[in-house]
Amino acid sequence: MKTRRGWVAVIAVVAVASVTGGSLLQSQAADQISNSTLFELVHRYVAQRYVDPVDPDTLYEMAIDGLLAELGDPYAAYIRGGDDGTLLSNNYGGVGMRVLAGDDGITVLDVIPNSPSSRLELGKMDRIIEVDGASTLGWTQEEAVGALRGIRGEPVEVMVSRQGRSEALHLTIVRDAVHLDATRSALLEGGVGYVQLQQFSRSSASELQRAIDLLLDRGATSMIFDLRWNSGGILPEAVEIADLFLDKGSPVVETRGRDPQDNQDFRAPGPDRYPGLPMVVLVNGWSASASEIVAGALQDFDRAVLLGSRTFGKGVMQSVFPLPGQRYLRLTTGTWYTPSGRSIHRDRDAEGMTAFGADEFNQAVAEAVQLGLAYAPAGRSDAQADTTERKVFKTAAGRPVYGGGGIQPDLLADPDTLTLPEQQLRIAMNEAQVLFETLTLRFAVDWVRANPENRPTQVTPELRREFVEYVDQETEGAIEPATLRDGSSLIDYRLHSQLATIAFDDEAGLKVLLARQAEVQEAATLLRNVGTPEQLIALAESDDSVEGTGG
Amino acid sequence: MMSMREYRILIAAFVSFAALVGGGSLMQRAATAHEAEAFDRAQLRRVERIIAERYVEEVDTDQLYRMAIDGMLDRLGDPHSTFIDVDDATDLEITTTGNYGGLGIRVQMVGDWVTIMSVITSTPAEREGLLTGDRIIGVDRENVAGWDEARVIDRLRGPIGEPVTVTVARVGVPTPIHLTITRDEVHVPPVLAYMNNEIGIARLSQFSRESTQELREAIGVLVTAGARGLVLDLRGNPGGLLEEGVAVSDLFLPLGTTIVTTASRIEQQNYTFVATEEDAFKDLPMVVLVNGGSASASEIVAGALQDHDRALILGTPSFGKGSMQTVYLLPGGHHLKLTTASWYTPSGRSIDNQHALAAVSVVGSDEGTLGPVGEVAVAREPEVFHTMAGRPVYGGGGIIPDVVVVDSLSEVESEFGSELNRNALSIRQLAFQFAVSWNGEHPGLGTEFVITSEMRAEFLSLLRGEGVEIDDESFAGVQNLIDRFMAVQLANTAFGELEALRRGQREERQVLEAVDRLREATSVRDLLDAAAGDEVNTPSQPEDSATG
Repeated sequence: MKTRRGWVAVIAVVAVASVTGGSLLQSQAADQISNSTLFELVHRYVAQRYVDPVDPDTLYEMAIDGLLAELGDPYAAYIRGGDDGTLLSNNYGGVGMRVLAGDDGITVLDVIPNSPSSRLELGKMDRIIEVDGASTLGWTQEEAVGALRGIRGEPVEVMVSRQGRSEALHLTIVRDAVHLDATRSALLEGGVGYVQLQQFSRSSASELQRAIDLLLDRGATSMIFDLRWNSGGILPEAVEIADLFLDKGSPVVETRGRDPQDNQDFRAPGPDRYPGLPMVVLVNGWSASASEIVAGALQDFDRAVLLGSRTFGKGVMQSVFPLPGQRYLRLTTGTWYTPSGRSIHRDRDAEGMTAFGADEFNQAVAEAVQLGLAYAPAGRSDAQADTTERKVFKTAAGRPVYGGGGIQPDLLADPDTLTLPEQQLRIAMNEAQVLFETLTLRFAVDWVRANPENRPTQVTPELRREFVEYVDQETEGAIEPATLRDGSSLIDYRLHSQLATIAFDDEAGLKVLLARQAEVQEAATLLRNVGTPEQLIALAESDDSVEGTGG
Repeated sequence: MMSMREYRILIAAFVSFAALVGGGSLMQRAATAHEAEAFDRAQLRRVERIIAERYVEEVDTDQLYRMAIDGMLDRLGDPHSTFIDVDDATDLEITTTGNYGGLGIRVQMVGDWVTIMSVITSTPAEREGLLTGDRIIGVDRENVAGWDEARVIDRLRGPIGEPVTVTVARVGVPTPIHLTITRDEVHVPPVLAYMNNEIGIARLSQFSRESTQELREAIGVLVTAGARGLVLDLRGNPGGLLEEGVAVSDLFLPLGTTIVTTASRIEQQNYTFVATEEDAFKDLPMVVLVNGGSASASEIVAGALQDHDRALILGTPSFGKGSMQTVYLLPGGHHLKLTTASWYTPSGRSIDNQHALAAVSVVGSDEGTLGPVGEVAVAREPEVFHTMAGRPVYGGGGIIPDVVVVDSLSEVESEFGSELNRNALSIRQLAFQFAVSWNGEHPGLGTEFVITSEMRAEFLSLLRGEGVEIDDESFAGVQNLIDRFMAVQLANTAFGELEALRRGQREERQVLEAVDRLREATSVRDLLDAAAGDEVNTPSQPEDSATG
């Protein structure tokens, strides 16, 4: 057994000879030692001496992650293993169906146009009872999706059961890249078109154009362009989308970085495709990045009226640098400016708020999407944001707009939030770990299947009672009947939308959701009263709630 | 059953077999690990270069590696492993040795001025006549208005033997006082000791190189003065050198007794420390006071004395730092403080409450593993160990006192404290300000002074002068607390640190409890037996919590 003699511990200055050899004395004599050498020394001490063993290569990865954290760029990330693909496009190798797994197999909810499934005899409400010879009864959603997805070009065998048909159908689907349309649209009363853009990916501009053209064909005379909850995407697509509504050669956005290749002036390459079409752009606190580029350009050229609440304020752009070994570095490399010259970046640290990174942002948006896009998660609204301290810029027509702190809409509208009893119902469901969306969806599927002749136009008291019984049975009474009763408006709203989607189509379901959204209804009212973009701007200017006159 | 010898042979055979079969692939794997390291090192360089060239804000390239160092250490998840810049290394030296070239004063911002809170005995400051309460208004003829403590301290410290001119404003003296003082090595005495009712009280405020010797001498004086029991106060002592922790424990334990065992990945840091001399104060019953501010070396002492049933541990659970750091000198005068080992008390427990200890199970030596080291895991449910006499003690979560005594403020008192904090004030500072002006105007205070209604009235007007709105009734509600603070600061400004400590501890619940128990005990055995008869480990809430 050793004793303490001759050993200096804890706060002892220990010779570094074993690690650095003779070079130490020499380096110490020099006044300046490079920090990279210092880093290597620290790295070796930690690798060799730290109380818990840590792999030397892991330490380098920790250093990279740590360096990015110390840099203070909330959007910087060291991305491993090619999961970057999802960042830039939404293609995957699949069959092209939205499905719901359950006790009675996998139900097809929707077949995506131009996908492998759309080329086959497959329809909504069909049940897939076998995949590659395995029974699907009782599968979870993850199991179902996992079995259907796979490598592009590889076939998957499915056995399909359809109501009113005695024999099962055997189909072979060859998996392929499936592209999800980035838009959802609906034609509202009074010739008001509604189109929602969910993200900016490679074909978003052409999808948006197609959606608008279809609405115009069906008689739309004005347009609501919804960018709420749209967290952005790739910059060129934002330019393409702004271009749809701007005159040829109009500046859309300017980027400025330290490297000359990050300095670019983007101008609209083509003419305004929809001249004279009055348009309201909806924005909220989760409209960010590319959404703000589009909203900013349309606001600066007085091309649309912006309605909603102040946007997120992400006025910086990132580049993704490919590195060896399927790693990527995402880094903020520039700031962008709207045509009037403003940066709308919001320095969250300076405002005493936590800077949001990409992950936190996506999580918050996902939470909102779960609520049916209608509701802001509690406490996110700052529609009445103060602009007194902000720098003023002028639009093409001379209207004042504001720099910093996100895009300030021309018309402020409070987002809908859940009523207290509705919130209590959500909380109760979360606590009981009940997935409200899944429950309403499954109930709607079962109900439509059981009542093929009955087309629901509203949630009747009887239907609601059925649903409450279903929830009670599925959750084994985990939720108080009183909570369910008091929050019944939320049940009606979501259930109605699901039933409409299943029994009719996506547009029908979407219209149910939009009917409760104050921002959409306010925009539609405005648009029904005007014939030209100029009239719309004038009406917005005279509105009481216009920023600057209201509070 | 297989004997140990056979078992070893079997392992040996197995190992050589594996080596024969797997020789080639083992080498290959080693090469891959090396490649992985080289790959990730190159990757760091690439990331660093991209940031230097493209990041939206310009960053000094060299600085990026410093950020990588901080980031890497941060991600170890160990708060004790840090890089210490050469500019901060002086503080480290002071913590380690307790010595530096300075004047010998403690300062703090009071209002807008850096003010002398106490003057350390036998230092240049005392010799040249600096006084507690003096406001520092100039250093080397430079006006220091608006400077904070750190900036003033930085200017006051310097090479030993070099003079510095300090200008102070003193209560009752109309003009500034200029004093030129030669800096000297300042030794911060770690021990303060006094007698209370035949019981010796020794407070150890840190573990530096001279701590053990000074403590031994101080206790010697107390024993000579007739102490029949000892309170060793380790509350708020953040620790320091492991060796001093061992040496302090050694004072109270018989020759050959195990004090602490360390376990590390580095062979040379696996030690069992044992007492090298006999118990210097054999038969002196002892209570060790601990609280949440007692850490590291304090916990080594408390743990060793608890496990050997040498002292009754009283107070609240200690901090729980069961790891050890080594400081490596780096080129350029920087230092790396790195956690390199964990330590275990004689009964085999780690008292660490955050560091993952499972990993140390790899530690072993030719003689076998270091006792129970491998078995110690992070204990959420406190793991039970036993002292040499069989009393239960607990792993994880700091040293749990044998007798828990909580000393806390009443609700009214803590509300009053928060109210002052909201106004950027503290009772301590106000009491200090009061004491400086009171002693300036009423010289000749006796050591056994009492707090008078005149004193209270002056304090109240000071309080109101600072903008605190308080009615007479509310003031009466916190009178007890304010009296204590006034007494401590009056003693501090008039007589110095020791008298302030003595005065303050007169009403401290934990000290009173310790003294009472020692007065009723004739041996350590008595003390421990009496405690075992109590409801051990249940916090005895003060019924009248006026003693804050």
